[in-house]
Amino acid sequence: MDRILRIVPAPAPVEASTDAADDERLVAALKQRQPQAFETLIHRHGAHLRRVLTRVLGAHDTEQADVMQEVAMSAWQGIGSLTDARALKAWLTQIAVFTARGVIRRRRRGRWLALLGEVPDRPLPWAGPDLQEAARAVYAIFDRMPVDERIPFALRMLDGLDLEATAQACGMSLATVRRRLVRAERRFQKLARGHEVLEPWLREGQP
Amino acid sequence: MPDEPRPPGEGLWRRLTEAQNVALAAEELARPDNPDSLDHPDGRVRAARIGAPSFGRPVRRVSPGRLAGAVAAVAVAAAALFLLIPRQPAGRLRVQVGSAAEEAVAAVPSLVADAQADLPLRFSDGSAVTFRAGSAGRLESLTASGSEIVLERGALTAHVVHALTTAWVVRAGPYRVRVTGTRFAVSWRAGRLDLSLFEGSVIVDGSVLGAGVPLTAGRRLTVASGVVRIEPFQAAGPPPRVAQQGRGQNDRLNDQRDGAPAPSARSTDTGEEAPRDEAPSPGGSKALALGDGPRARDALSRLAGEPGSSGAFMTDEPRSATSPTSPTSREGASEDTTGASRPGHPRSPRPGVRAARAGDESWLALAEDRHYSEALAAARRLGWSNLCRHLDAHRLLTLADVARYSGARAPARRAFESLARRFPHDRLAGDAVFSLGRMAFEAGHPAEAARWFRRYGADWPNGPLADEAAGRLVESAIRLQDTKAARAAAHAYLARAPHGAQASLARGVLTDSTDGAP
Repeated sequence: MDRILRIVPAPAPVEASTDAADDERLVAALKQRQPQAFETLIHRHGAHLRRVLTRVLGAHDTEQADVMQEVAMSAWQGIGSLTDARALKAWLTQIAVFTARGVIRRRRRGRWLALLGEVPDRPLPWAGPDLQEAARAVYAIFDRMPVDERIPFALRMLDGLDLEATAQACGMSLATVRRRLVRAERRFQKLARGHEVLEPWLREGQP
Repeated sequence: MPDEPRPPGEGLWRRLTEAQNVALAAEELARPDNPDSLDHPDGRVRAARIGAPSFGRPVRRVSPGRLAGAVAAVAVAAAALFLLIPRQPAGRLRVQVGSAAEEAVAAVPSLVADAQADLPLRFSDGSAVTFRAGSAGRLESLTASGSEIVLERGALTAHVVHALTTAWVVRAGPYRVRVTGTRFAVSWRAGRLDLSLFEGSVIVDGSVLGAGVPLTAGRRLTVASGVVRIEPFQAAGPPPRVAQQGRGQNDRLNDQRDGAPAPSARSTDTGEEAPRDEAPSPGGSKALALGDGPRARDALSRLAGEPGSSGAFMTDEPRSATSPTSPTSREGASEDTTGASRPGHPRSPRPGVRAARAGDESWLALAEDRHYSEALAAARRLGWSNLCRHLDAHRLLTLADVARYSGARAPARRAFESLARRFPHDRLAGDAVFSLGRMAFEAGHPAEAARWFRRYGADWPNGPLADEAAGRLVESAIRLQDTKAARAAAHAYLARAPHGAQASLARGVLTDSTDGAP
């Protein structure tokens, strides 16, 4: 589907401050179901959520706007379960990760379907052809990895999260995320070995 | 941390990260009300904002000429990015409920269609939603890019005009239908959801459907008592393309947008039949009893994943085939067609038209009975090329529709091309040209699409689809990242349709390319 769904309302012209006090007020407003609060939420944390989704799904993913909407709706619907307003950003990150995981699993289940398999890529015109190819290859390999390895690996490698942050985002213990990262790295290297596009990158850092 | 895994090929990850950062930053920049939200710690992203090329490519010896070329390319790409990002239209949609004015909507918490008559809602972007007689619901919200409609009981039909930022939601019970641009009918009665999708695609989620089930054109989804059924409704056929006398100009134009078929005799206003309760065709569907929760969703996915099934998830049709790129309402394009329409036929030949020299017209009879797959097979047996060479304009258009409804894009394209080539001055050729543009656009060939839309604008400047073609031309140029062409197309669009469905997009193109072009 090359149409881009965007249901998230346009951000309102509100203060973009992200300090904890603002988040506490924001969470309170969200719990009171104030529509303006939803817009503020997207305005304040939308960029962060989009970044998480981009790391996990790839910038080429044409359904990212759909997923972003799912994340926003989940946050809106589940805000009542957030007890510590200061943890809003981390909580949102978890929602984004879990939503992306659901999307990946859903696609995996239906990957053989023509209707899901022919979704065109969103090109990366700002990158050279070599990097575009590499990006596609990386995410193609990601698609072959277990989702619980892929996501922490993507966050670690592409977003530069440390172990603690990766574990928190994925809702895993530190030991679990460490173990999965090691496995993910091995798996990625194995799958990328001999890959026409990725081999030069992995060997020399560039094609 | 010494025990952390070391990145394999650090250069790859770094450059990939930087490319994603640039993409994200450009997207944030493209949000007109959020111009300074580049808060990512990587300062190189800011450089990309002004088109500078220094976003962290690894050290590499390049000649000055190549470097200059790269700088120019990146700058152009960065500018083009501004055009790639969809944006929200500036103003909130307006809606007219029945014959009431927009202001009445807020004062009416619930919309209840009279037991004897439908209640149409017409939106300023050309979209239309009709609550069927006896149905009730409400307009939950109205934004710049769409609306959220709640169907409390009964049935509604919707034709949502596609634009880049289209965002509509229809809620029925615990289910949510997310829409970008499509035509569908949905009913919610006694805990039973029934959704028939005529054009485009939607995602339906909620309750046993979990995070979402994609539904493509030609499919019908029913959920009742934990049983999910998805089936093709091709056997019954989509609402036939027949002209309807007495419909307003707006209705006709709405139908023409996105190729909405004209209504059948039993339909009203927006032209779709409400979902019917007839039993699905034997073997044409899959059903599964589901509860809630992960097991149910797994079961649902198994339903989707069983090879060899003829269920709705089990299509071997190409994606595009399940998204008919219906060109237009032909009745608007041809007086002859209007006078010759017959229910159950996608486009009936006018009476008295000589039989095709191809002889056997069994395919036509099958098409009249809406057995499109069989009609396609019968036509192929006669030789598709032969038919394309000899059929008259009306039959050619019918032939193209038969192929399109059967999901055979290539034969459909050949039939449309034959019509456009052999009858270049026939008004039906305009439909064919527009259809070819749509098909090319949806197949990911914007350059070809632009050529067809340009031709439509040149040859039928006052045709019923001229505005739509002009808008599609803007979208094609954006897809091509052709700033100059996009600006020209945007100017042309605004000149002819300053309040059209793509006016916001066109204004955004002009604004962005003025601000962001190198």
